[in-house]
Amino acid sequence: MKQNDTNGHDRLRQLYAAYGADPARWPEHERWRYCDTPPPELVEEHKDAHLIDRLLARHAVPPTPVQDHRQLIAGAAAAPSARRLIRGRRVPLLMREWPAALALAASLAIGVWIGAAGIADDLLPSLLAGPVDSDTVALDPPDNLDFDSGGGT
Amino acid sequence: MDLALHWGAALPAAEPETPPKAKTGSSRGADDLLARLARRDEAAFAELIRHHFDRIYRIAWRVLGGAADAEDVAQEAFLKAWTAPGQIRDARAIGAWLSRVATNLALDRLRRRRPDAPGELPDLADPAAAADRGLQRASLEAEVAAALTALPDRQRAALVLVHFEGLGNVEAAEMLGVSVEAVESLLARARRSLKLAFADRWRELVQELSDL
Repeated sequence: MKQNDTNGHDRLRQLYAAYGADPARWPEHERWRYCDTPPPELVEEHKDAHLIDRLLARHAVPPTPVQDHRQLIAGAAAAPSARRLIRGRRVPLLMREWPAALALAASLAIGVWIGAAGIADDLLPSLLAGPVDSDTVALDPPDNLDFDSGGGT
Repeated sequence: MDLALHWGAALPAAEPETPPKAKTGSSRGADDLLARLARRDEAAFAELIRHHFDRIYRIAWRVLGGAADAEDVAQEAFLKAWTAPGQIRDARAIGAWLSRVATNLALDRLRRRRPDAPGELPDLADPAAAADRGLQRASLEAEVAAALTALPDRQRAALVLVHFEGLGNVEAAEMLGVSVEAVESLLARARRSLKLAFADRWRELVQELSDL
């Protein structure tokens, strides 16, 4: 019994300290602990909590916001959607979607130009052949080998 | 012996008197509002602002210690809901989501602001009205405001959410990303600091407050 009293007082002391003297501000499931007259051991804590409550009640009321709600709504209408935001920063349209498209178009144009100019005709065979060294084994036989005749060319 | 038995009958559970928790209407209404937000329905956004702006602004104002950029923080929170409604998982908790975003935005601002700039002293809601209520009261309001501004940011945020906005400790803990015990600790330390700020005239205050 004594232990229960101690635990009850401890918790009541914590409630006063954290939430104040008004049980309406306590966690709902703990309001049963309240009684008009606090136990004699906690009278001082109760008084302090009550005075702090009254001090907090003196805290100024926030001033009315300067901006009208309509301005916020208008601002939102102009705001981009989440898809257009990268890490919370506004990114211009051109910087957001066009780089990939521009790169693709540029590579296509260069390819067409190379093809039209005939540059590839000279470059491709050597590029495809790559460097030749003595250890390289030819996997594909030359087209002009005559296997049927039993001899080389 | 149980305390409730020791003291007699326990009082019936009462709802916090002020301020009430924000309500988003029925579940269907909340779902509908969120769906409309996702479709970028401006009327839905206006409805969201109408229901929640004052509270979100109040939270930002108090967490920021009355700084002028509270309005910016509130607006940023709403714009987050507008640009990324998909982040709001529970339509019924849209008010709590906005409160959490506003609290974190305000705490971020405070972190960025310090230690270079000291906290601003809050603007009184209406200086003329304060004058009418008498210098004594206005002075006490200013002192309380200064004491709250001097609190560590998270202690003040806990006090704002639980004491001023009437949120439950579980909800406040979620918003601050800490345990319920940690919220209680923050609250207790905040209140203790407040008492210490007025320690030299604590007894005088008892009289002063009873006169007001």
